Amino acid sequence: MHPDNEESEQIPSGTVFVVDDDEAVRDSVALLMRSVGLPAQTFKDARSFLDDYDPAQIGCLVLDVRMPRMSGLDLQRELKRRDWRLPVIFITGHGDVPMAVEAMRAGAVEFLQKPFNDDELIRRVNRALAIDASQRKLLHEVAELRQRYETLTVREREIAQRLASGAANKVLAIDLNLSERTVEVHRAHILEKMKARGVAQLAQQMLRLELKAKVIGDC
Amino acid sequence: MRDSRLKETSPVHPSHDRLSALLDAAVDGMVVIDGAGRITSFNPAAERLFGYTAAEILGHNVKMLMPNPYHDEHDQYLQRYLSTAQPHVIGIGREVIARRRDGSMFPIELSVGEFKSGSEHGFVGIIRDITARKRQEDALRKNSEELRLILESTPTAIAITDIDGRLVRINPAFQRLLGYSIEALAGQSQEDLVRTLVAEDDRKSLLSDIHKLYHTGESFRRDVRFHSRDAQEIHAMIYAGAVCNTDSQPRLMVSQIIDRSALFAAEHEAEELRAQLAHVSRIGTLGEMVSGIAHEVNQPLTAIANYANAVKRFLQSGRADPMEVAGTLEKISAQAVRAGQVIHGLRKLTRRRETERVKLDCNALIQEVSRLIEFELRFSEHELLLELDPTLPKVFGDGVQFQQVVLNLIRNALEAMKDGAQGESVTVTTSVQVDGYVEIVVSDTGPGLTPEVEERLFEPFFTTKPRGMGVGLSICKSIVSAMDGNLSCRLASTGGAEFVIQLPIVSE
Ligand SMILES: Nc1ncnc2c1ncn2[C@@H]1O[C@H](COP(=O)(O)OP(=O)(O)OP(=O)(O)O)[C@@H](O)[C@H]1O
Ligand SMILES: [Mg+2]
Repeated sequence: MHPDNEESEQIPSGTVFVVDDDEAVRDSVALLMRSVGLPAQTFKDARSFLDDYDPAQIGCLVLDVRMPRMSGLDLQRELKRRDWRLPVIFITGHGDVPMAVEAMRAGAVEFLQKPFNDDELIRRVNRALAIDASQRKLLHEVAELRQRYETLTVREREIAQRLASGAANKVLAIDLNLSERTVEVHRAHILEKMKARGVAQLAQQMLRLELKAKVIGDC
Repeated sequence: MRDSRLKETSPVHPSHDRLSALLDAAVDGMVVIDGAGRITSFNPAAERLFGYTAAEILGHNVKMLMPNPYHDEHDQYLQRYLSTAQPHVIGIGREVIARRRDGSMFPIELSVGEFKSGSEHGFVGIIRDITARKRQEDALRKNSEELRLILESTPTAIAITDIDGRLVRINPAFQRLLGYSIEALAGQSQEDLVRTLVAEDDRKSLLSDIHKLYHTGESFRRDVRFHSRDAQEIHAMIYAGAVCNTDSQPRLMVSQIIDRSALFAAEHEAEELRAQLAHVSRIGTLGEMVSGIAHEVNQPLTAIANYANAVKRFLQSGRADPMEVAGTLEKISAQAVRAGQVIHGLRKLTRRRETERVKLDCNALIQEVSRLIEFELRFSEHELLLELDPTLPKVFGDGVQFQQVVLNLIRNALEAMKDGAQGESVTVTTSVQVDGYVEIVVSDTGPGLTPEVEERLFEPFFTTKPRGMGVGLSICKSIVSAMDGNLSCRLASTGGAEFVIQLPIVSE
């Protein structure tokens, strides 16, 4: 389960999930994806996607905005609710501008108006797949860091925070009313538990844990 | 009465005194003549009537009290009676004309009795001035003549039946409406009449109304289906009232039959207008339709583009499976057919109504639209005000399309004010411009237009509304352009928006 292994296995793969109520559109999008070697899976509506999809699968969604019963926007909302961070590329019809506006407000930025340029779609799909992969990698790393962090004692966590914000051993010892020696022992334990090579890396790790949400958002 | 009095006077042989006392007391004028026509007695009432004193006239021939032709012929009457004993006036009342001393004429009722007593043989004439009665009768005649004229010329069918239900009179409108002449219906009993004229289902209730009217004098109205002579069913309203005796006993029934088919026709027309306005109001739907069609066409086009690009890539990569390529090309052509069908359907939709180019009365068209809007505003705080110039000249164009424009501008205005405070209003003003244009201004008290919105207002699919399609104004613009006019917007003095339609006046 080393992150490096995951990266080499999963980045090139990833499936394009196509959800569109129009059979010809979803079939043709899937074929276009396959023509550039990307596996694609089609769904005739949002519901069947939610039923079939395993959140462990890497990929991206090509999603029609306007669909009967559950619209593309509804699906996007549902994904958010379930905390499934699959990147979404919306494809919209002509009259769907107001919906597109709404989707943008909801945070989706990938929009293609039908009929779309194939290069554009392929480019965006590739980018979305890359995003999903790196986002998963990040999530994985952060999850691992959190696990390591959770093995620290309360005192160690306090010292780790202070070390990460650049406090010297001497200052720490005075502040916490400990001997400098004790501080050093703690420090060695912390670095070991966090698998950090030094205080600089620890600082980075702490930052990541704090900014988890933001780091992912930036992708 | 008069006859009995005569009987009393003539056979009896009155003493002279008794006779003159009687004559003096009589209210009616009394003139006694002998067999030669000479006046032998002239009572005070006669003096008052004729203006002669008894002294003046006694011994004169009675014909001096008569104008021609009676004057000249009186001697003959008398002669004839005396020789043939065939009475013409004697014993019978007559209305004749009498002449006063001053030559003026007046109508009288004359009764003549004959008397014989010994050597005396004469006649007594009893005279009553009937000027007043005549005048009354004339007035009555004139009155009934007016009534007859009204009856004859009114467009309402009227029938008058007596207490036995027999038809007394019908007017020409009745004859026109139901096709029967009075002769064709005369003599029928009430039941027969109703059976002839009224649809079976309505007979019972109508007859019971009629019976009630005859018993209580109560008038009634009822919806009745009539059958005309040529077997047409006529929806009519019958209004019936009773004409009563002095003792308020119903004597006649006067029925007015109002043809409601005309009303139905008017209702039908109103219905059509509503339907037409509904068509006008469908501009919102038109927007949806346009975008729906765009969507419908987009789907197959998208699929076609995708399939074609996929094939291209398969071919480029050298991994093309000929069977898959062939299958995909087939899908492409199927999608092309699908797109064609959408277009075909669209063409049919647009062909449904051809654009007209006729003279339009903008005010009337706006009023029609306002009725529709007011209907929608029943539960709203907003108001629609019209300020229409009654001298507005006509313009050329398609009425329905013009209404679509006005309706859409009003709708936009109302939508702009939606969350606003109460008392907000939309005003439609029409006016004549000096440069040969009429101007129709739709202004509102809403928030007005921001520069960004104003810039893109007329762009198709530009909208700021969550449910808007953004086609309203672009359709309006194209309609107004087709009318050689101009649609623009500006800030209203109220701070709201103001849309201005300018249309060239039709030169006569
Ligand atoms: N009276 C007005 N006051 C303020 N803004 C207006 C007014 N009329 C139009 N607008 C603006 O112009 C835009 C375009 O109007 P338009 O009628 O073309 O489309 P729409 O009303 O949004 O949608 P629809 O196609 O249903 O009519 C509106 O969304 C609105 O922002
Ligand atoms: Mg509009």
